[in-house]
Amino acid sequence: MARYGLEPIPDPAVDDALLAALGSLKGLPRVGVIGSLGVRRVARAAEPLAQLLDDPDPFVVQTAARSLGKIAGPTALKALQDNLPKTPAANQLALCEGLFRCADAAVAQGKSDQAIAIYEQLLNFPAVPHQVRGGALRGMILAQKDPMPLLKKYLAGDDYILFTAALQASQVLPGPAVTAALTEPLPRLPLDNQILILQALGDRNDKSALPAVIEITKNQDATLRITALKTLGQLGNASVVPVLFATALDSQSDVVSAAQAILAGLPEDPQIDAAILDRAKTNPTNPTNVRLIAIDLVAQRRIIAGNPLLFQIADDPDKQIRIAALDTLGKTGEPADLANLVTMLVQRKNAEELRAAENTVKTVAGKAPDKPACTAALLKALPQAQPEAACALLSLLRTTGGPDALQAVRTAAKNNNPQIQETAIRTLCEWPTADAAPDLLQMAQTAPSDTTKIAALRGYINLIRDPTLAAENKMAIAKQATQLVQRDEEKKLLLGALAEIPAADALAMAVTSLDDPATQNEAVLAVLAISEKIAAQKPAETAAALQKVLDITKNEDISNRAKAILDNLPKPTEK
Amino acid sequence: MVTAESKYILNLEKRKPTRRAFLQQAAWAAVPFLVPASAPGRGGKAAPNERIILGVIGTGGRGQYDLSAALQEADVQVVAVCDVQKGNRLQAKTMVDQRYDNQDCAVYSDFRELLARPDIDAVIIAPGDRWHTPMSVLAMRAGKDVYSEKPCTMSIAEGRTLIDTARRYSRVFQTGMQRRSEANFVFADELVRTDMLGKVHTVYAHTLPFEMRTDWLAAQPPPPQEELDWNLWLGPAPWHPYNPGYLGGCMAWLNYFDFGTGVAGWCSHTICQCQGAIESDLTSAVEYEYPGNETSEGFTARYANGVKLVLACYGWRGTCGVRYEGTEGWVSVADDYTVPDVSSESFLKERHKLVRQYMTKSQRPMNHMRDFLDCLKTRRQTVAHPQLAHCSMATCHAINISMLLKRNLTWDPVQEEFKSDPEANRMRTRTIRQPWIL
Repeated sequence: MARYGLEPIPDPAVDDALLAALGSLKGLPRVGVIGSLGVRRVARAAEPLAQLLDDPDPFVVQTAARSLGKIAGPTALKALQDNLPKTPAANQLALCEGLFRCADAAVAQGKSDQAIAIYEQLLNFPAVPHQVRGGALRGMILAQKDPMPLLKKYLAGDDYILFTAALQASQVLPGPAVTAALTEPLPRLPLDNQILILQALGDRNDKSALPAVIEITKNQDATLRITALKTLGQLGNASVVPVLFATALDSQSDVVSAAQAILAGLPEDPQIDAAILDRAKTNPTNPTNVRLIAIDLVAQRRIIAGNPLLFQIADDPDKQIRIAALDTLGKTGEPADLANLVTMLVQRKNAEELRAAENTVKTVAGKAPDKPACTAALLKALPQAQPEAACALLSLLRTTGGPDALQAVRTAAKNNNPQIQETAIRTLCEWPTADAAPDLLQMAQTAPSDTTKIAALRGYINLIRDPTLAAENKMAIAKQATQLVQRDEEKKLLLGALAEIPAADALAMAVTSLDDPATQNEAVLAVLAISEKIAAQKPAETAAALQKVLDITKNEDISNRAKAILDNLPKPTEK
Repeated sequence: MVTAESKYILNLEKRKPTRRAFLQQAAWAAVPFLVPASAPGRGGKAAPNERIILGVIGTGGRGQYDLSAALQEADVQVVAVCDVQKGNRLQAKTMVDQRYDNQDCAVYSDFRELLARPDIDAVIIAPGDRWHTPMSVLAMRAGKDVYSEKPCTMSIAEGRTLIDTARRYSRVFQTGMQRRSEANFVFADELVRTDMLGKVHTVYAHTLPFEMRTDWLAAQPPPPQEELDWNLWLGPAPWHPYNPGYLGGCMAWLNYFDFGTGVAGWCSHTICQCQGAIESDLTSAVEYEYPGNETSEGFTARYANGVKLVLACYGWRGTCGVRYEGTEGWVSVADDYTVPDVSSESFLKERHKLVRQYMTKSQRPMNHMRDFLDCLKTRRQTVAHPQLAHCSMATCHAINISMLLKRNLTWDPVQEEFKSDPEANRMRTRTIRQPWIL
């Protein structure tokens, strides 16, 4: 344990103590002292440690070798170099480590020649393991005043380990000359080596590599091509866009996917975006498949600057292009574009495009903060719209909402055109906010057809789910609806809505349905849901309702849920 | 035509080790300290079209998590597992054998035997923190590439050893700071790196309350060595008598000084994330302000670029959270967030685009294990390479030292020393128990 106290103390007296202990200790404690002398880099220890390199204990030899490496200097270096060929195989790696450390020290002191000599010894030592060969070559290249000759030699060589070592050396060497050393042998190398070089070129981000990388994209091997495409993505500027587009039309599907993904991921750059937009334009040199890829990229890259073009090609002669442009505008359109989008909608000539335009307007209006402005844009277009477009606008008014929108739908519900009238009624029946309650109640009571009555009643019941509505108003709707429901379907719908009302009245209403076998399951769930909300405030009513549930249910989960609520009810105060 | 997949299979068949070979290797590995320089084997070649032969050391909960990730990769063959605890190693063997539908996974209690196998290209290292650096160093010297769990070092000095070893032997090393490869965290980082948050002035890193206790648990008779090799469990840490209270997952030993790393329990993730976001991967914080409490809550450190790092025990709905604040907005994210919290919804519109652009320019997958495997084949730096790992861990260790000394510190990240504080400088290293001195 003395080492733990002594090792970090900088006082030279500690060195004396450790050196003295070196001669007296045996076994692992001695190994510990040898290690501590290395950690402290005690130069005086080099001679005694050097003498340990032929010790019979491998722990002693190996720890001494590493400590000598830390101490470095002529004595340590000579001892390690002399002993490397003589030491048993099990110790060789430790001596290699010691020599690596000596080489590091030499480099740090500007003694490149000495470092290179160490690396050469390691590299050429018989049967040296791959990690030592590779590390030695890497070190040797980086220690050179001019690393290029060695770098070129091994990058073009056929020894894979030394090739990778040279490659790793190149990763820390800047400059176009190194890039050239990587690209020059590229076409002649085995496939694995090419993949590694391509990856290294991408990481270097040196645009001078582009021609060589582009050449590889024409190779027959899909793995190699994809790697080259990825490198283009890393080097990415506008000049790679044509290459990637050309590849995106290839016959190899995985290459196509890679090219499109890379185009989508190229950096934020107006020139890249402009190059993509060029390929979306109506132009004889842009076939439809190229334009479709480009339009998809506009969406993926969210190229807002492309919106004017998208509006333009939304009237393209090619229907596929028109639909793609409309879809993309849903992703890139801004609230400020809404008026133009609505104009575009009313100009659609066929149902498919109209649906696409409706979805686009719905998406853009849905994310617009100023809903009254959206409503105004829709209402402005409504009077002149053809019936099909008018129906789309009416449906969209449900998304934007507000009193003006509701009034327009009310008016349209009386329109002479049956298509418009039907859409308006359907829109009213799906209105999400309670301001439509009077309309729906009236329709549920007096509509000429049973179908409309049922749709209106269902819409009326669904208003209970309006999160902005107070509990008492929800309850008022529920009570009105109770008087109108006749079919089990609407009774179940009402019970589902009741479950959202945290009120004793709602609980009581749900309890009345427990005895009806047709709606018992929904009633049980409603009672449980309401009970969970009001148990603390209405323990007596809750207890009575849950007891009834327990009396009738055979479902274990329901029973457990009811019991859990009952167990947590507030206890009556003792008198 | 030979497909890439068939190449993997062909290579696997060629190298499939026999039972006899295993036994021979095991006997050979009984020689102390690793692989003789003349070891035969694959010779370090794991080229892009070859299958990666993997061993896993430390197969408790975290090791099994990493093992699961490796087993999902089609170009990986796990051939050996190792743990000083019999239960852990047998569980891991079951996972491997079930995956490959055979009984071939070799089992070791001494990691040196596994490292001595020349057919193994790489190892996952996931025992307790005290072992991360020594095992990583020994594995890299043995010619293996290494995926090591975090915290990857126990001291500032160990970080330098890790860097030097990876460089000397041209090894690929990844530390398990896996949020570097998770889309939500990458998105948050990219918001900073693309200046969308304006000038970032403060980053927050989630931490567990600081604790580095120095007491020992009472001695109890250790179980048989076959069940638990207590001496190897301790490894490079100072000797302690056996007590079962140290076992059963990291929470059992994490808060003991000799086994744990203080704030680095979580900050090895979160500070690493923060340093990446503010493009300080290759440096560490320079000013450390002791917060005057025992928990490290509110501990403040500053980087040379002026950014303030604040440690916080709370403030997220999940673990390992970070929060970045700039002049134009903020982002906050932790584990299990569906999407990061942001000051403006407009940031979220850019989420997919920013992650896609990051992946294209960096060629990093959103899968930390996959990044390691890819780099192993291409010899690239990993996304969490030794230098980066050391620099973020140095910030963690400096915070620990400030908490232990209860005073402010100034750190020179170039010289790697505390200014005018010899006592703090002595704490940059930890003495390693023999024979594990590196």
